[in-house]
Amino acid sequence: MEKNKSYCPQFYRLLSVLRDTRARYRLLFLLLAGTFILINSAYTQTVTVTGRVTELSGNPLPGVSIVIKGTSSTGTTTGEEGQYTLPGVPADAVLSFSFVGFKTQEIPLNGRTRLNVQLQEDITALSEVVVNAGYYTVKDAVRTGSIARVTAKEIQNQPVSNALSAVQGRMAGVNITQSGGTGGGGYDIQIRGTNSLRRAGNYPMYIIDGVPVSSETASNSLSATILPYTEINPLNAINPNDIESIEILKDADATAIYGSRGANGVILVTTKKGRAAKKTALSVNTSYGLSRVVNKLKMMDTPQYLEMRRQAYASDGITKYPANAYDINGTWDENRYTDWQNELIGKTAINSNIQLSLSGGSENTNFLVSAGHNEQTTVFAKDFNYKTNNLSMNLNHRSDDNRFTLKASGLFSEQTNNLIRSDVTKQSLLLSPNAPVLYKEDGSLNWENNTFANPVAPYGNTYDNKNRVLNLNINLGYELFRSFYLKLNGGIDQQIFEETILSPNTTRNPAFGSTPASSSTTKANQHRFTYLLEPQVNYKHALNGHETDILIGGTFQHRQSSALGLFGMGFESNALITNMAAAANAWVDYDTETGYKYAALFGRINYQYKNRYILNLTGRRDGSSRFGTNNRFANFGAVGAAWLFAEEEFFNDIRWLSFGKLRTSYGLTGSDAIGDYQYLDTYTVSSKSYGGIKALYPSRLYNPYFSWEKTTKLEAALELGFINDRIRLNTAWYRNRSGNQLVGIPLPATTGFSRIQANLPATVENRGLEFELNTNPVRTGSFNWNSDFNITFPRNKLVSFPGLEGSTYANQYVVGYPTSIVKVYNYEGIDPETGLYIFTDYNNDGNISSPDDNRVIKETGPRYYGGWSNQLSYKQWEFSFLFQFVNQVQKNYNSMMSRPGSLNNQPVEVLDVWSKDNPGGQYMPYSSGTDAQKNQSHALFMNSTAAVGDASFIRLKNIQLSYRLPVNRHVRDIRFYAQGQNVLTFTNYFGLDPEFILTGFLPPLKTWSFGIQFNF
Amino acid sequence: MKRISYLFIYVGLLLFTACEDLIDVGYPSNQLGTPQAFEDVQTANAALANLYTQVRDRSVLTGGSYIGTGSLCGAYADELDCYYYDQNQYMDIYQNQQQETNIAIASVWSASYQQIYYANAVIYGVEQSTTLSDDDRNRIKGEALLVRSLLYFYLQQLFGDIPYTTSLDYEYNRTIGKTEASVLLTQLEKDMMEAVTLLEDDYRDAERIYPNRKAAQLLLARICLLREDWLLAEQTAKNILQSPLYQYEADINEVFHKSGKHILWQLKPQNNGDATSEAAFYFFTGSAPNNYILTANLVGSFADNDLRKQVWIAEVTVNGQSWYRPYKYKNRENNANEYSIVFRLEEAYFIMAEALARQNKVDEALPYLNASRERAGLIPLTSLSQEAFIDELLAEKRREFFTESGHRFLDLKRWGRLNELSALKPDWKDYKQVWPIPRNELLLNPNLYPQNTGY
Repeated sequence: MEKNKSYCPQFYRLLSVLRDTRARYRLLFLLLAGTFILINSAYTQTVTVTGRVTELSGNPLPGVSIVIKGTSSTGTTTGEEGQYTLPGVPADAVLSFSFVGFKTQEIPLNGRTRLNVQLQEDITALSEVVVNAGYYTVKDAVRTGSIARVTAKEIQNQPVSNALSAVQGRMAGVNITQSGGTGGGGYDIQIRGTNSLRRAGNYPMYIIDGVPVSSETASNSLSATILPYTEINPLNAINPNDIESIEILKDADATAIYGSRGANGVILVTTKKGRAAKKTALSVNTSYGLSRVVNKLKMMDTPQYLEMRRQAYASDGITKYPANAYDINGTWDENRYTDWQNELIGKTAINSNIQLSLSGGSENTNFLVSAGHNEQTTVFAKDFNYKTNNLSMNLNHRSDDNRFTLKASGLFSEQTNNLIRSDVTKQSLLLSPNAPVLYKEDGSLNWENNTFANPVAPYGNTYDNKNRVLNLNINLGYELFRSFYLKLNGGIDQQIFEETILSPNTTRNPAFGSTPASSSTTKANQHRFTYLLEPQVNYKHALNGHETDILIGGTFQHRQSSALGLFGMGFESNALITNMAAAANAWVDYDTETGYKYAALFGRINYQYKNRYILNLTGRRDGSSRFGTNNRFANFGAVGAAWLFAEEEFFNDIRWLSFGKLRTSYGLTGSDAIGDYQYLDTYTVSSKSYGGIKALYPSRLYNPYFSWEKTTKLEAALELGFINDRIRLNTAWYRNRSGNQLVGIPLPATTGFSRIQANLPATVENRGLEFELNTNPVRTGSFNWNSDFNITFPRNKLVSFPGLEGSTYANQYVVGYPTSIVKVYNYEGIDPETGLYIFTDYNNDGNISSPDDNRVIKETGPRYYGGWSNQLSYKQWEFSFLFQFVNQVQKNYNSMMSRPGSLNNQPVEVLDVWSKDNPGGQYMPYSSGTDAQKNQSHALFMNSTAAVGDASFIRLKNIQLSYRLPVNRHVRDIRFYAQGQNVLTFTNYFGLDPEFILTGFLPPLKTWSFGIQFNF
Repeated sequence: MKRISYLFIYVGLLLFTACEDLIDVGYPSNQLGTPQAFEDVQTANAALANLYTQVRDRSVLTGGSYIGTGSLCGAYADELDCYYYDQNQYMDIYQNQQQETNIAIASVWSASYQQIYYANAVIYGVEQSTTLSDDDRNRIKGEALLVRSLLYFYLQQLFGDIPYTTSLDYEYNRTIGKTEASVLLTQLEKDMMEAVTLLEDDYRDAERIYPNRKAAQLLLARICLLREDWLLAEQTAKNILQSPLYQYEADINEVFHKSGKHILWQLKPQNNGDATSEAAFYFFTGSAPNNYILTANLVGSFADNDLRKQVWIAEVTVNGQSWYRPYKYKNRENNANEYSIVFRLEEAYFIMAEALARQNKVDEALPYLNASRERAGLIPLTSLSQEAFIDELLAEKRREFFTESGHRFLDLKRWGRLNELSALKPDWKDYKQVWPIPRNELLLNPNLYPQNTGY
C-alpha cells in the first residue's frame, strides 16, 4: 500500500481524507439516529409487527424492503417465504413496502401487529428494465438504439433444443427460420433482412456472456445431405433453460460498437445468475415430449398411381412395358400399398429432458450451477438420436465496499448427433406406393431381385457428429475512484467437432457383389480455440441534470483452428469399419491449421440532459487478419439521439400519454466474414494425388486489395406508452444499405477461375417498418393478461450491381428487385393441340430457353411477418400461446416434382391431368420419359410461374399451461406444465411445410411435451 | 486492490500498442507461397501433379467423365446413344440440339481453361525459379506444354476460333479475343516442337504415367494432320514407330492393360486398386441403361468374328431387350492392371496410314491399317483405291478407337465428312461442326463475339 501511494501521493491523501470524513459522518449519523430511536421508544409505545408479503397471485415475495415511514430506521426485508418480523414499531406508524418491479405500498399500522401485504406489479417499471447492449447496459427508457429482448419467461421449458426456436415470432425485425426437423441443425436468422450477397456473409454475430462464438460453419463439413447448408447453430450448445435473456441489437446505434462484425446484427445471450438467498435453492426440472411431422402430403394410392403409369405409356404409344418399369410390368405386386411417408418419416420422436440447478449466495457472492441432459430421437424409422449434455456455472462477487466486482461463467456442452447420412424425406414422397416390402421374412433387407433400391438400406450409411464446446468468461470490474471504473472482460471459446460417415457395403445392393473391401469411412475433425481480452475504462459523471457516460475499450481476439480429414476404404469386416487403422487404404484428405486475429479500439460517449435529451456516440477502429496488409484497419461508428418528449411540461396535461420517445440513429457497420487468408498468393495441398505425388494447386486468383463489407444503417423510431404504460406501441422505420460487397467478381473462364475475391460496388438495401404493441388488458388481483403483437414489413432491394448481366449471378439477381428472387418461365397453360405446357416465348425464337425466356421475376422473401403472444395468469395457473405468421411466396412442390408418369409417386393434385375430356386439367398428360419434348416441357414447368406459389402461414407456434403447487417448507413448490410446439398450421402452401430454407429436407416437427419442476 | 488496477492498466497498454503486429497470422499450414512452390523439384512436381489429377478426373480427356470427349463427342457423333432423360444438357448434345446456354458445353470450356491456367502457372513458376536444375525445368515445362497444347487442340476442334493465352494476368485474360484456327494451329505446332526438344525419350516412371518426348511427337503429328502437313506428320509418326521403346500389342486382350509396350502415355487412378473412370462410367447391369450405350449402328459395323466386338463390348440383356456397352476397361473393383490410356501406338499407325494415303501412297499405307484388323482376327485388306482406302481407314479407326477421347468426331471433322452424320442424326446441320461459345463467356467478355455461326 505504501509503495502504491508513492505513485500519486496527492490523490491518495485526498482519497483517504474523503473516506475518513465519510466514516466520521456515518458514525455521527448513526449516533444521532440511535439517540432518536431511543428517545422515541422512551416516549411512545412500540410493537413487533410480523406478516407475509406476496404477489397478487399468492407467490411469496422474498427481499421486499420494509421501512417505517418518516424515520430513517433500517427496517427489514422479507425472507424466503415472504415473511418478516419488524420489532420496535410505533403503534401508529405507517409501514412502507417496496420491491423492484412492484408498486410501493404504504400502510398505516393502526395498532395491528400482524400485517399481510399483497404487492402489485408495477407496469410502468417496464421502462426501468435494464437492457444489455453488450459492452454496456442501458435503461430501456433512455436507450437510443434498437434492441429487441426476450427473457427466460418466454424461453424456459419450451420443448426446443435451441432457444432460437422459442424466439421465433416474438421479435419485430428478426425473421428466424428453422432449417429442418432433424435435431442439431441450423437456423436462418435475418435481422432486418439480408445484407450480403453471400449466405455466410449474412450470419449475425453471437456473443455468449461477453465472449463471441463463431457462427461460421465448419469447413468441409460432412453433413451436407442431412443438415441443410451444413449449418449447426452455435446456440445449440446452450440449454435454453440456462438463458436469462437474449438481446438482439439491430440498428447502427446498437451495433456500430461491434464495428466490422455488427452489420448483420448481434445476438447477445446472457445466462442465468445466482441470487442472494438465505437458503440454497435446488430446482429439478424434467420433461418428456413427443414429436411428429407437422404435415404429410396426400399422395396417390396404388390404383391411382398404377393408372397414371399405364396412361403414361399409353400416351407415349408404348404397349410393351420396358424391363425397368417394375411397378407395372408384373415384377412388383400390383396390389400392395404402402404409405411411405408413414414408413420413412412417420415415427414419433421422443424428447426427454432433465435439468438440475443449484443456486444461492450471500449479498456479496452468489452462484448458480446447472446440469442438463437432453435426448431426442428422430422421426426416421431407425433409432437415430441427438443427445446433449450441458454443464454451466455462474459466479458473482462484489467486494464489501462495492468497488470490486467479479463475474465468471462457464458453459460446457457436449452434443452427439447420430443420423442417417441422407435425408429420406424426399424419397418418402417419391417411392411407388406398390413398391416391395422393406424386409424379407428373415429380417434381412429386401432388394426384390435387384429391382428395388431399398430406401432403408442407406440407414446403415450413417452420419455422426460430436460437438464439444467450452465457453468461459471472466469479467472483472474495479472502481478506481468515484465513478471511474476499470473493467477487464476475458474469455475462452473452445470447440472440438468430430464427424464420421460410415458407408458399409451392406447398404448397397448385394447383387453387385460388393464386399467389405468397398466399405468406407470418412472422418473430419476440427478444433477451434479462441481467446478474447477486452480491457475497458468507464467514467460516469452527473451534474445539474447533465449526465455523461464514457466508455473506452480495446479488444484482442485470436482464434486458432485446425482441421483434419481422413478417408479409409477396404475393411476385412464391417465390424472394424469405425476404426480407420483397419482400412486397407487410408489417406489424409486435408490437414490444415489456420489463424484469425482481430484487434480493435472502441468507445462510447453517452450524454443525457434532464433524462430527456439523449445523445449517444459510438465508434470502433478494427483490424482483422483477414485482409491484405494495406486494408487491415477500418473505422466504424454511429450517432444516436433520443427525446423523451412526454416528459416535457406541455405534455403534463395529457394524462393518457404516459411515455413518449422519439429516437433516431445513423451509422456505419461492417463485415469481415470472408474466411481466412483469401488475400494470399499461394498453392494449396490438394486431397488428390497423381502417381503417389500429392498435388498442389493454385489457391485462387489473388487480390491483396479487397476490404470490408460496409453497411450504413439509418433508423427512426417512435415509442409511446398509454394509460400508465398499459399499452405500449413502438414503431420503427429503418433503412440499411450494404455496399462494398465482398463477393467473387465474376470472370470469364479464360482467366482460369470463375471469380476473383474483391469488393464489388454492388449495393443491397434493406428497409422496413416494425411495429410492436404490448398491452396489459386485464390486471386484477388474481387475474393478469398480457397480450403482445408485432409485425414487420421488410423490403430488400438490389440497388446496383455493375457487370451483373454477364456474370454467373445473372440468373439469380435483377437490379431493382430483392436478392431473394427466382427468375422463372411464364406458364400460360396447356396447348390443346399437343397437350404440352405453354410458356411465353419472350424472344420469339420458337424455343423456350434460359436466360431469354425465364424473365418472370418472383420475389420469394417474406412480405411481412410477426407474432401475437398472450400470457394469462390466474392464481397458480398460467396459460400462454403464441401465433407466428409469415406472408411469403416460395417455390412449391411443382418445383421439385418428378415428371408425372415416371416411376415416382405423385401428390393427388396430379390426378387432375389434362386431356381432351378434361380441358381444365392442371398437369400435362403423363409421360413415361421416352418423349424428349414432354421431358423438356416438364423441366420448364418446374422452373415456371406454376412452381412458385403462396407459402404464407399462420402457426400456433407455442401453447403452454402450467400450474404451481405450493407445498411445504422443504419443497417450496412444484410446477406442472404442458407445452405444444408448432401445434397448428394454417397454410395454402402446396408442399410439405412452408417453413424451410432448402427443399428436400425434413420440415420442423410438431411437439407436445409435459414436465414437472420441483423447487426446493 | 490496487494491484488489480495495475493489471488493468498493464493489459490495456499491451493492447493499445502495436496493433499492426497483433493481427499478423502468417500462412496457414496447408498453403505455400507461390514462389516457394517452385523452389525445389518436389513441390514443382506436386504443382504439375495437380494438372494430371485434373486431366485424369474432370477434363475433356477423362474417359469416364460427363465432360469427357469420350462420351460427349461419342454421343454427338455416331458412337453412343444417350439415356439421360432428365439431364437435358447431355441429351441436347446427343441430339445435336445444343444451344449456347448448354451447361455441359460451358463446363467443357471452363474446365479446359482452368487447366490451361494451371499449366501456364506451372510454366511461369519453373521459368521464374532460380533454384531448379535445367533438366527439371525443361522436363516440367515440356510436360505442361504438352498438356496445355492437348487442351487447346480439343478446344479448337470443338469451338473453332478460341482465345489462346499463356498469361496468368486476369486483367489480360478477361478481355482476350479469339485467335483464328489456322493461326492457333501454327502456334500449337510451335509449342509442340518446343515440347519435343524439352522432353526426353526416357520415361520418368516405368509405368508411363507421365508423357515423354514420343507422346509430344504424337500430338505434334496429330496437329500436322490438321495443318495438312502430310510429310511432317509421316516423319513424326515414323519416328515414334521406329523407337525401340514401343511394340505393337498383338493380343487383343492386352490392349487396355497397363503394362503394354504399345502405350505412350496413360493416366493412373489415384490409389492402387482404384478403377479407371471408364470402367465405372459405362457400367450397368440388370436394368435399362442410365447414361450411354453403344449405337446399334456402331455395333452393327463390326463383323461377328471381330475380336474387338467380343472383347471390348458387353451385351446387357434384361427381359429380352438387349443393349451394348463399351467394355474396354473391365475392372470396377480391385483394379490391378488397367490405367486410362491417353496415347497408344495404334494411333501412330493410323496417322502413318492417313499421312501416306493423303500423299497417294495407299499401298505403303495398307500395312498400318491392317495391323488393327489382323489383331482383331480379320482378314487384311489388299490393294484399294485411295477413296476406298479412306473409307476403310475411317471405319477401321471407328472400330478401334470407339469412346476414346472423341477420335471418331475428330476424324470425321478432319476429313470434312461430319455432314454424313445426318443419315443417323435428324437434327444435324452443317453449322454444327463447332459448338457454340458458352453464352456466359460472351457476356463476361464481349471480345469473344461474334458467336459461332448458327447459334
